[in-house]
Amino acid sequence: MSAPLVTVKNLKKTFPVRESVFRRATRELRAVDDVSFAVSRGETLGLVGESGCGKSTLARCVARLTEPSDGSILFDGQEIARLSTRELRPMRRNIQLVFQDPMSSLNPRKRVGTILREALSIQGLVSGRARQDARIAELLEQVGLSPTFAGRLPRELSGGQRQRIGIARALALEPRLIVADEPVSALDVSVQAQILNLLKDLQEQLGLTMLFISHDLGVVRHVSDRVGVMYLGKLVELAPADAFYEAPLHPYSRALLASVPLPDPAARGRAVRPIEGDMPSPIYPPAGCRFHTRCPIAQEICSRTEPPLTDHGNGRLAACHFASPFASARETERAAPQPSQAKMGD
Amino acid sequence: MSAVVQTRRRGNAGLLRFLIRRSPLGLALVTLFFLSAVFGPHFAPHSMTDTNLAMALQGPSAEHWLGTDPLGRDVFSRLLGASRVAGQAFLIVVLIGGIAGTALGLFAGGRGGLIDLVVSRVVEILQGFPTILVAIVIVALLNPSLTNAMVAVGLAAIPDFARVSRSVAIQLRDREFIQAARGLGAGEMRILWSEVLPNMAGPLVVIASFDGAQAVLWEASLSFLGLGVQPPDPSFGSMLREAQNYLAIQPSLAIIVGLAVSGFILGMNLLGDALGDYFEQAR
Repeated sequence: MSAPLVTVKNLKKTFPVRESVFRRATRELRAVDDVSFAVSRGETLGLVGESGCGKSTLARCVARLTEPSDGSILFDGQEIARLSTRELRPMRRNIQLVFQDPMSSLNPRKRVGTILREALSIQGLVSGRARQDARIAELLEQVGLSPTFAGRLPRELSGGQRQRIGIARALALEPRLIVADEPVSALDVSVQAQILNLLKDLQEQLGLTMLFISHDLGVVRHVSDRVGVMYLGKLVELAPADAFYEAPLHPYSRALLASVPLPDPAARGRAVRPIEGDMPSPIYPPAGCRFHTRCPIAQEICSRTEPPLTDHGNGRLAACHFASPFASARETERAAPQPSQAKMGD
Repeated sequence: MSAVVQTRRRGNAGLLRFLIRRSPLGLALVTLFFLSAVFGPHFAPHSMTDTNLAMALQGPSAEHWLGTDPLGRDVFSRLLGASRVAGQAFLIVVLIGGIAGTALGLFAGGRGGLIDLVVSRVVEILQGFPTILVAIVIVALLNPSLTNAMVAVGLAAIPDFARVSRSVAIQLRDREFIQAARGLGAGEMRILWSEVLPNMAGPLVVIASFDGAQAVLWEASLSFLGLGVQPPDPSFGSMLREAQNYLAIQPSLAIIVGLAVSGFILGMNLLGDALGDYFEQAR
């Protein structure tokens, strides 16, 4: 297989935190802390995690809406982590974002046609009004809308239609990578499936590579080839989607999967204890494994040594001292006589 | 194809209909004022400046609809002339304050950081000067005229526009459509001009209506003090000054001019409120 389209290495993004208005920023919030992964051409990598785990910040770094604090992002062999705003401009057409809130991602004062026309003209990709009109109509059809939508204002559209416009705008520049940051979480469930299918179809037609961010494991499963799980700024597991949903390696992944509501009543019996407690503050992350404060199988070593992301075969990576693909959730609970600090109200 | 891909703005019929429903009085008063400012002087039945002492201080009549002033000039004609002066004051102030203030606020709020800090302090200093003092200084340095007086008032209006546009720019700065534009490769200036500015139209129109009304009041005050329009040209302020000596003899003089000014200010405020509501609901 050819070289991956995107290679992220040791990426860090920190934000300075002021503890008081009178002091200078002393501590830092590590939103993304030493994350490495690669996305192959034509692949969809799904990133999941609770809110606040740093997945959106990671998306913003990859799309270079924000500058990473440290680390490297190779896009098609070119280093883009350090590029200046000016140097980035020609790169922009290769990477486009689809945003979470389709109302907020479209300028409320502009008609759909104007929004798309600007996307075409900012980079001088398509010039001439007639040719732009033709391309706008084509883009609208590509996302399943009639060309008459060009005359509408965003507030005249439904949520799903707005998100289609957001996707059309991203496609306008014929990008190679789409970074979709929670693209369906603001939509009704019935519309979510339509948008997900649209993204999948477009990806196949146009040979797109996609970084898909979501907190919803069901949604990620629907579109992803591989799945990455983030916790407190760290990537804790990265695995092919089938293997991941079959038997996740990391206890956090297991807990996340266990908290997905099951449509099949017969399967509910195997539901495990949901994950306890809240995520610790990324300003004061726990020592050792960041998950040990909530982990059902944590041992003493977990609070001292941070487990590296290691290969467990078949392209499956996990950062856990006790990662095992065979232990079911129930067995792991039995295997953990001292359920650590996490409060287990009995 | 271009018939299908229609991206041009539709007319503002919706706005007009909303204003008629929401604030008919305000709309009527303001329309009347601007019509008389634009066309009034052409239709004035008498000269605004020719004196006729034999006809001084008469009450309303068929010949002089609103009577005559102490020098025998037709009050109705002078009122039309005064409304044009007030209209000019309105325009000068809104143009100076609107363009300079919006540019400053947009830039400060949109870019943030050090630029914001510097611009905000400059605006605050500007705000600290009493308008009347600035007007007196400018008029003393140059010479008393409508334009000079209104430049001073226009400078005083800059902070209002700057503050409003800055706060809107800050609200919008991190909205996703701004990031989307950045992601498409748009430059920061283009983002300010084409993404942020159009979203300020509402609040800016509201501020313009209030500051414009203020401008008319300031024009009247400054002309009343002799710092603005000079005799024999008519203006609300100079007419009120002439009327005050004859309050006991011909009170209708002061009442008519006073009503004209108050009517316009009232209308402008009502309209400003309605405009605010319109842009609030259109959001």
